[in-house]
Amino acid sequence: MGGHRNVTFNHLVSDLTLRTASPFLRPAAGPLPAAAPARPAPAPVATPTLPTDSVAFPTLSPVPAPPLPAPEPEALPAAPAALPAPRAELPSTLLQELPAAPAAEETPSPMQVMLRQLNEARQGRTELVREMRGRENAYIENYPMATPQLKADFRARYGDSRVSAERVGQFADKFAADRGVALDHLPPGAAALPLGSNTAPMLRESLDKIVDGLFNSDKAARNPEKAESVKHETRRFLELVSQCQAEGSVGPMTLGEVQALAARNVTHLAVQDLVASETPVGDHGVRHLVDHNIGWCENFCDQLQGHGVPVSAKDRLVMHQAMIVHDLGYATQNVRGRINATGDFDLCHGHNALAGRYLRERFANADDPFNKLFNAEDVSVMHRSVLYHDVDQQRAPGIHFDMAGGTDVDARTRRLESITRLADNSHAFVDKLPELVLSHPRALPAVRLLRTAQELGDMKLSGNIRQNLIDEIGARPDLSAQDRGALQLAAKNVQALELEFITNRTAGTDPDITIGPGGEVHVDIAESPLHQKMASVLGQPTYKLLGSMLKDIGGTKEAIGPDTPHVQQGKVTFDFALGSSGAKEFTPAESRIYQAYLADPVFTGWAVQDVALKNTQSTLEALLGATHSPSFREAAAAFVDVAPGENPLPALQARLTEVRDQRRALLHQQLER
Amino acid sequence: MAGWLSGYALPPADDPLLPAQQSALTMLRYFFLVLSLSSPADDPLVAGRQFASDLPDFPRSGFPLSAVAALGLGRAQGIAATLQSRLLEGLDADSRAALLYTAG
Repeated sequence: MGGHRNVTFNHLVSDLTLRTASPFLRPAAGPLPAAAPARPAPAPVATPTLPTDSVAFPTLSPVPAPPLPAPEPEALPAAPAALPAPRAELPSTLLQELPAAPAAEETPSPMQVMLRQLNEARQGRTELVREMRGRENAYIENYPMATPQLKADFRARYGDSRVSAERVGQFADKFAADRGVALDHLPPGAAALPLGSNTAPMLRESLDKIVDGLFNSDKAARNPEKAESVKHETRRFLELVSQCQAEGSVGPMTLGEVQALAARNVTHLAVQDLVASETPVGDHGVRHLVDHNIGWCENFCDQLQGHGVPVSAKDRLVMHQAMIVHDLGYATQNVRGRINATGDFDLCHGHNALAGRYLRERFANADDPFNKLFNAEDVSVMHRSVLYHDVDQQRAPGIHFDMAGGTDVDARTRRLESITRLADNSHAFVDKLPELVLSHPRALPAVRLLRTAQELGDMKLSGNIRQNLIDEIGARPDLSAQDRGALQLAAKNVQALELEFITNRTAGTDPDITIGPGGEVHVDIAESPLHQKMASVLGQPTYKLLGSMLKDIGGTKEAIGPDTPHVQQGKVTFDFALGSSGAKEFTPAESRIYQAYLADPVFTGWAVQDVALKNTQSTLEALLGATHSPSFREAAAAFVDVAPGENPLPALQARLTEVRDQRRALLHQQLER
Repeated sequence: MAGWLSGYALPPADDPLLPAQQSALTMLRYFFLVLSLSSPADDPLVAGRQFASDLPDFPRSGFPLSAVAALGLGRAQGIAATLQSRLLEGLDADSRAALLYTAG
């Protein structure tokens, strides 16, 4: 099923102009009153302790939810201190009860708890908020962490005030402002106009300027391809809003309201893309969020509709929104700051819960236009899709397509969750490589050299190699300052171990996925030409990623070899085109990697000799750690002569020194080229 | 090539030599990879003797360190170590790239 995805999604995005001019959009109406409320205020719900008329409910920002452990210290970059806090709209008497913008999470005071309860009750949404909070807590409790301390750290990350929807939103706004990007380019007075076919072009133009400012500018990222992706995304988002209005699932909205939502999404994408570029692990930026995940969600919706399964415009919109925020937990400032400071990528564990909290808090804020676009059921489904975007509630793949096409909330939830997980778990290969590798492929040989220096214990040399890489990135005039800085951070934290992940990721091209009429899923994976070179002699280990994908999508990890044609797990079938039947031509990204890493004969000549020496060094070091073995003397004979009665230890140590010196000399030769 | 390694065994987990035996197995695997990229022969000894007629016979089963010892793969001037280095120098670009990609 080659090219299914590209044809479908490219068609969708290239056809947007035509579609947005469609009769889905209602005719132009006169301007709405500028001060029109987002939605009628629901009747207040009384609480036993405080009269409702003493609190300005509609403007009360939700207080972060669960009981919290000790706060984390602020890491870089600090949250903005100068942004206005919504609480300023509270009566002054209550303001005195609340501390000024906290640097980190603190246990809510009884007053805060009461205000929160009042606020939620007033908004008539207490039950769902409680349910979502319960899901998040259950997710945290069930999340497998190696130690109680790691679990406590996870709870602290989740509870940190920098994860709150308010702080995440403030940071996104400041992120744009710091880059000189205004988040409103509508003509004067246009914000109050209703979204319609005649007003949508103004909105598109405004959003395009925001996208260009954040993705294709010297002051921010300079990446025209990503800018195009995000423009397509915003246009599709607007188109879906219009389609939702046509199908009756969204009421009238002003340009200002829709712009606020779409612009917030753009800033979230920009922040996440930058943070993804700062880390040398698999991508969680625009390539992942938009190009792959949203692209495939749309594709799966098309396929299901083709089989007669009902998929509404609202379903699609829910998935767009879910995908835009599902990995937000990688990019919150507490997580980002600590990763950049420590290089500890384990801080990403459980990121789902952080994104879940963000969504819950947006829902809890009735004044957020988010709640004009999505109703409670939408948000509940979206929250589940975000929380369980990789594994289901039982930590299983959970990909089940009910082709009977139920329209009740349970069927809808299962369907959208399944789509989300299938899209997210199928992004694993070259396109998921870290930005450092794709934007600066020369990082690969540098990391390879770094690894040898580290294995030799030469920290000064490894520091020099790392600094050279950082300087090399810093000298690239084609990158914006932001891009250079992000890649330099990634270079600062890249570990030699990443080489193995990178190698595994090149095992395949992007898979092609079809959903059959009975809900069966076919995943077709072609091995990349980079990987094929060793297909006949590799054995199984380098197909490790394929085995992992089986587990993520089908449920069971299996060993995949070059001769494995297909694997069936339940209703999921994997068809492999490995070895000579794999892909024949490099993709542009694969070609850049090959040129930077594998095409230099002097470098590869050094590297293959270095591996042989490394193998010898490793075995000697392991042997020297086993001197208490009764077979030590016998084993030592693999490396040195051992006379009867002689202690082989000095000779083994001398042999180890010889090997290490030889490796070091060859490494220096390579560095001095 | 997987068959060339299939006869070797590792000691139990509580054996202090286990890490060394595992490492020795990696040494053998790499040597065999180089041989398989250099020769079409189906047997490592046949492949090796195409390039070094004095390559000694070596155990095809038991612990890997015994094979490393018999081959001279861990010695500074061992026959297999010298052969490996020579064959590595002679590998074409694709084979070097493949080795680097696999084991480097």
